This record gives sequence, structure tokens and C-alpha cells, in this order.
Amino acid sequence: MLSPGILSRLKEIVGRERCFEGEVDRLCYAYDSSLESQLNRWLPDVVVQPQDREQVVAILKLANEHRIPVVPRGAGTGQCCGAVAHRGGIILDMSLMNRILRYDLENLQVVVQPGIVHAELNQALAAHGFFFPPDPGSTKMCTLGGMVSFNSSGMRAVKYGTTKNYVLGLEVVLPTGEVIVTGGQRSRALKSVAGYDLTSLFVGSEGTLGVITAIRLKVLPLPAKRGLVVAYFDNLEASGEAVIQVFRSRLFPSAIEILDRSAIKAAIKYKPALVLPEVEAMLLFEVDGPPPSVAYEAQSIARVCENFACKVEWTDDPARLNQLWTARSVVGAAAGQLKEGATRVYIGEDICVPVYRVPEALRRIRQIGEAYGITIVTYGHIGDGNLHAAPVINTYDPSEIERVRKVGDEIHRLALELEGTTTGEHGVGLTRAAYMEEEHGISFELMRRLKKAIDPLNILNPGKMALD
Amino acid sequence: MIRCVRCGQCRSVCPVFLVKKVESDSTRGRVTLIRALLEGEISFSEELGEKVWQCLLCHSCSQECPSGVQVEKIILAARSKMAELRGLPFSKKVLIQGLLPNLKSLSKLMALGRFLQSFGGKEVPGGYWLPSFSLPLFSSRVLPRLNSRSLFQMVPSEAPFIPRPKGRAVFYAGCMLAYGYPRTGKAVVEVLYYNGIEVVIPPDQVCCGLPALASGHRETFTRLREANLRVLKRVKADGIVTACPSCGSTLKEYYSSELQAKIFDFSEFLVAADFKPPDREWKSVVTYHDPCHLRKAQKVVRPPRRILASIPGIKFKEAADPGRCCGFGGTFGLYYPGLSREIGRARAGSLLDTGAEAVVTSCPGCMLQLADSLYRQQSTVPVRHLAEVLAEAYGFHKPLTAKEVVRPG
Repeated sequence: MLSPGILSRLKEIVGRERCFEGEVDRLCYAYDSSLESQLNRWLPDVVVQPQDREQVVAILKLANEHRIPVVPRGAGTGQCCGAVAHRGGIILDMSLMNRILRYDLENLQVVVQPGIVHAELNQALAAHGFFFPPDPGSTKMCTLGGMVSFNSSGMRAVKYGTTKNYVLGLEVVLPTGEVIVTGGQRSRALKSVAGYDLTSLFVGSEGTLGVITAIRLKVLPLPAKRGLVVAYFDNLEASGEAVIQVFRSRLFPSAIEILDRSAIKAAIKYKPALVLPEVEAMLLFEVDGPPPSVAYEAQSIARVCENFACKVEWTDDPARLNQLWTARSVVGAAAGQLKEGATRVYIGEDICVPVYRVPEALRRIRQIGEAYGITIVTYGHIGDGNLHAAPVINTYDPSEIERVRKVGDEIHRLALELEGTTTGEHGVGLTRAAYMEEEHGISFELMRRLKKAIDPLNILNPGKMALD
Repeated sequence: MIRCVRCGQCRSVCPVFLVKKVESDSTRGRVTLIRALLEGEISFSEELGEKVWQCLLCHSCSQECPSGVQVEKIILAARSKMAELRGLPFSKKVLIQGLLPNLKSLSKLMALGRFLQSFGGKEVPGGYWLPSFSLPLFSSRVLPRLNSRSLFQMVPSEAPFIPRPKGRAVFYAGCMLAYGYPRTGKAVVEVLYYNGIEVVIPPDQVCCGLPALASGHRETFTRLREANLRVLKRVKADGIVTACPSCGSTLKEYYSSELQAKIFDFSEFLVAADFKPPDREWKSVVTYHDPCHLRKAQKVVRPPRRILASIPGIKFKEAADPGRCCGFGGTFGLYYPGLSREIGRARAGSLLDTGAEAVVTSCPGCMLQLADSLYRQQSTVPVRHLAEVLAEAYGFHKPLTAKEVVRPG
């Protein structure tokens, strides 16, 4: 518990109405989407909503002086317990710092505050003919600060890369209250090799090293047109082969997504109007660019797929595109509708394997589910090997909880066995901390040393990523 | 509730969260709190009660939820339990148990109300009045100028003779159209007549009960529902028509199993009855505000737009965020005027961004809120019910504020 003196100091900093210490509010900041945060309650002692950098500086100085844990938080859409107060302390809800600070579009960049919501940023950019390409399924609610902290991506990572490819510089408040700017103090350049790449150190650091208060972000001109090739397959291997053959044919879609049989069922359940056949797998290839190249690329992809698929269709109708992408982006959460009295849980949900091993991973995930008697819906970004497994269980059944934890562990171990990683975009947080040593070997020790050097008193998001 | 995966999709559309920006004021927060309460993890507190009351029941979250969580059902159940355990607060008791079942007797006081409105208030364009003092519940909200007669006194209750009628409908008017906007209610009836529909308006219909249901007072709701069912079952008709989406969704969801005649929104019924397109021009740039209880609860999206598109001269501009709540929410607007106004301000802004010269909607509650919200943004853009616009385009209502109404040729 925090002392009354500290609480009143926090109220002085952010204002009484932006400091929440009641049980009702604290409970609402004790979760993200992960299964573990549903089963456990890690209540913060207080939640504060800073409105500017100076307030963040003052909060961190206070916390560092009194060794109070501080957990920065965006919209709480994470899936690995990354933004829950595992050791109590202060939740720093960054929602109110949500403005675009500078448009610098002639230099292909903008400067934003961390609380801006992804979809709102892209809506504002679209008005100028630009966009920020990484596109998570949670676009409507996740914040840029969260995306940078977890190096999030989404469906177009195959062509456009992940968040880290767009962060040119950061303003970060260190645990001691010092403010640093990475990527050059006054730089508006698009690239730099001057010194260590500190920006990359903070991108994906999950709030363990500093609190981001501004982000200099590279943006791109919006493609003139988008199109979608949808291919349906009678067997899983054929879908993997089709993807490899598309690359071999020198075609490079902006996104390639896979839905297995169970995911197709979930999509149909969510929206029957989609009219999808219940096949073994379906692939969605998005192409974008100038209209003639979109038509050429889509036709070429469709021709390649015809050799492997039982049915191929192509559309550039914005309404159908929107419908199919919406179905794809909500299929995970919709998975819960497949079983009465059950829900989709986030555990073992974000492995990434080499592209050619995706069909094998899909098959083995299904086998793991069968072995433990757990329904698993699987879908994901086959273009970069990032798979999302969605176990559907009754969370009130202790036996199902026990089994699903084993399922999660086996899926993580499968990822390492297939020369992949335990998380492709959701992050480590608490739920994948146990695999860090195994995945990184001796280099993990360097991560621990870096954490100690920057946050010696371990106040920032302590207990996460197995760093302490 | 079990299905909720806490993905937060609901945060992006919850009007209360979008203003307050605090997790406990988001749908995800409310659902979590109610679940924690049910599971005995936390105990009831006034603070928790406030969170449950501060929901507009706008269905935005349920519409968005990929897991299919029906949030409004969870909120209604929680409110009902809260009312059962702790009773209603005094002002709600007066409103729900006292006023609601006795609206009819108030109609006798309408002439007095109209007279009083000529004192101490300000004329607001479009047939509205702004009190210069704070009224109980309504505070200083822009209100419709009261008519000296209710709708029931303005139109015959039995269907007048129509040669070769296309159909027969019962008009369930609801409180707002009967007493607050009788002129609009009359437009509904006249538009139906014009389209060859016989209209029966049972004078003994009472409030649909939604305010009681939303306040958790199931007993009053059941009483009103039974009274209405007795009246509505008596009339033989092809359909029951409402022009208030809140009544419509209540009737569809909580009455329909016991009614043989189907329940339709005014726009649905007209489109199904193959309405006559007007031949007069209604020259205006127009946008449409979707009432939550029409778009999200009843899934009626196209019919009002189809009707507007049929009116010559109208240039339709869709708002950037169709489906955004106006922030009225029935009793919500009365109990949380500040919050309601904040939500209304955002909605009015996006409607004005279309450059519209008139805002058309299908809900008297939304009309009340939008009139206030637009007025507070110094806008003179009028808010009109779809039925009024149609009545003007057919030529039997004198236009209130339409920019230009001309006869072709």
C-alpha cells in the first residue's frame, strides 16, 4: 500500500480527478486479455493518468525515490500480462497523452504522443494521403505507445515490416526522471548510423526501461488501390506450398493470412453472410499499389494458387474487402462462440516459425489440442510464419485450466523446436518469461545487465520478461 | 459474460468511455465489475452502482463485440438486481413509479405547460424553447415547445375511410411523440394515410416501459407491458408501427412473442408497403443520424436512407461515423446532463462536418438531444424527424425550416 503522503503527492502532480485509488477503478486496471490476468488479480495501488511529459517526470522521480513499481499502460489490449501491476504500485495510464504533435509529411514522418489510438492515427493520416503500415487486429483500440513497447505488427508485416521499422526516434523518461531523445536530439532525418541504436533498445522493451512520451514515426504514402485473392484448400500442406510458390514466382503480397478449418467455422459463426466454404484452410493474399500492378499481381497469385487450391476468388470491391478483413481481424475473439459456455483464452497464442514450417505447426497444434481434449482455433500471418492459436475452454473448470496451461507450454516448446520464437508480436510479459533463457541463451544475460544499468532500482514494470 | 475475452474492442465505441477515458467507465470495465460482483470478489458500493448506471444502453458495444456478448442484457440484469436490493433513488421512484404510469393525466396539463413556456424562457429556432431556470430533471436543456393538445387529441383514434386501402396499421406512438412532438406524430399518421394505409391509434396505449426496464424496475415495466398488450392485441392489423426506435426495440424484444401483428419501424413499414416517392422538391443538403435503438438494436439501416433518397432535390451526405450515439439515452440524459451534453457535442460536431443544412433522424429522443447539442454549438441547422420531412415533401405539412421547398414546374 502506498502511504497517504505519496498518494497526495500523486494527486498534486496529475490532478485529483486523474488519480484513482478506489477498488472499483483498481480492479479495472488489473487485467489485459491474457488468461493469467483473468485467473489472478494483480491490483495496482493506484492508477494515474498523466497529461504531459513533466507529469511523467515527476511521477517517476517520486517512484524512484520511494522504490514504487510503475507500469506504463496503453489501452490494456495486450495478451501476455505485460501491462498489469504484478507487484502492485502505480499504473501509468497514458490514454490522455493522445495527440499528433507534428505533421512532417514532406519528410515522411509524424511525431505523436503514446496514447494515440492506431486507427485514429491512420484516419488522420489518410486525410493527407499517408499511412502507418503496421496494422494490428486491435487497430480500433490499441495505442501507439503500446505498439512501440511491444514492437507490434499485424497483417501487413510480410511486405511492410513491423513497428520497429517505422520508429525513427523516441522521447523517453528514464526511471530517474531524466528525459532522453533517441535517434538524434533535433533530427528529422529518415536514417542515421550515429552511435548505438538506442531507439531499437526501447522498441519492444515492454515498459521495463523507460516511459515513452513522444514517438517520431515514419509514414508512407497510401497505396492507390488494394485487392484481395482468396484461395481455399482441401489440405493444409497445399496452402503452405502455395505461399512458397507465390514468393518463388517473384510476387510479394502486402499480407498473407491463413485460417484453418476451425477458424473458418468461427468466422462463419461471427458473420454467416460471409458465405465461406468449410475447407481445410483458406488463404487471403492482399496486394496493393498502382491499379495496373494490383490487377497483374492478383491475377498472377490467383494463377499460382490454382495449382494447389480447390477454389480461388479475387475481389477489389471495398465492401467485400472490408467484410473479409473484419472477419479475419475478429476471428480470434469470435472463436469463443464455437463452444457453449466457453470462451477463447490467450495462452500459447503467438508463436512464429519459419514460413515453410507453418503447415507442420498448424497440424501439430491441432494434435496438441486433441491430446489434451481442448478445442483450438488457429489462424495467423502465414506470410511471416506468425500463428495465433486460440484455445476455447470453460474458465470455471479447473481441469480445463490445468490442461490448457500444458497446451500453452507445448505450443511454446513446439515453436522453439521448429526453429521459431515463442512470440511474434504479442510480447513476453509474464506469460512467456519462462522461455527467455532457453530462447536467447547467453545473450539474455546482456538484457538483464542493460535493465540493471538503466533501471537500477527495478521500478519499471518489475517482474516482467524474467529480467530480475 | 463468460465469453468476454477483454479484447477491448468495445472501448473504441463506448460513448461514455470516449468522453471519460477511464477503464471503469468503459464497457469492458463494467462487464468485469459486474462479473466480479457476481462471483463475490468485490462487494456492492455506491461507486460500482454509478458505473452500472452510467451506461446509455446504446448497443454500440454489443454490435462491435466479436465474442457476441450482449452487454445491455448484462447491464439490465445488474440494474434490476440493484433496484431489488437497494430500491430506486427517490427521484427515479417519482419518475418511474409515479409519473410514467400516469402520463395520460398529465396531458390535461399540456395547455397550462404551453402557457408557462411563454414565461421565463427563450425561443429557439425549430420549435424549441430554452428555460431560463433549471427545471427538475431537465435542467436547462432545450425542450420542444409544448402543444396545447396531445397527439391523441389531434388525430382520430379510429381509421378514417380510405378507398381500397393497401393495409391496416396500429400506430404505437410512445410518450415522446404523443406529448412532446405531437406534430411529428401527426406527420407519421398523415404519411401512412397518403400511402393508402388505414391507421388505428388506440388512445388507451401507455408508455412502452423502457424507462422502467432501464432503471431496473421490472414490476412497473411488466404492468405497462400488460396494459399495452391488452390494447394492442384487440386491434386487427397488418402491423404495429412505431416512429420512436426506443419503443420499437422494446416492443420487438419484449412484446413481440405475444403479438400476432408484426412490429415495424415507420421507415421499415413504408418501404415494405412500397411507398409513393414524393414529387415535390426538398432542396437541401441532408445528413441522417441513426438512432442507436434503430440501427444497432433493430438493425434498420437502409430504409430511412432509401426514403430520403426518394425525395427529389435532397443531397445526402453521410457523416464520417454513422451509428455514433448522440448521448441522450432516455433517463441517462436526465441524470447525467453534463456527460450527456459532452457526448452530444461530439455527435453534433460530426454531423455538422458534413455541411448538412438539415439533420434528419427517426427518434424523438435523439431529436431532443440533437436540438440541444446543435443549439449549443451556435448552429441553426434544424433537426427533423423523417416523417416530417416526408410529410413536407408530400405537401401536407408546412415546412418549418427547410431551406427551400418548391413545386416542380
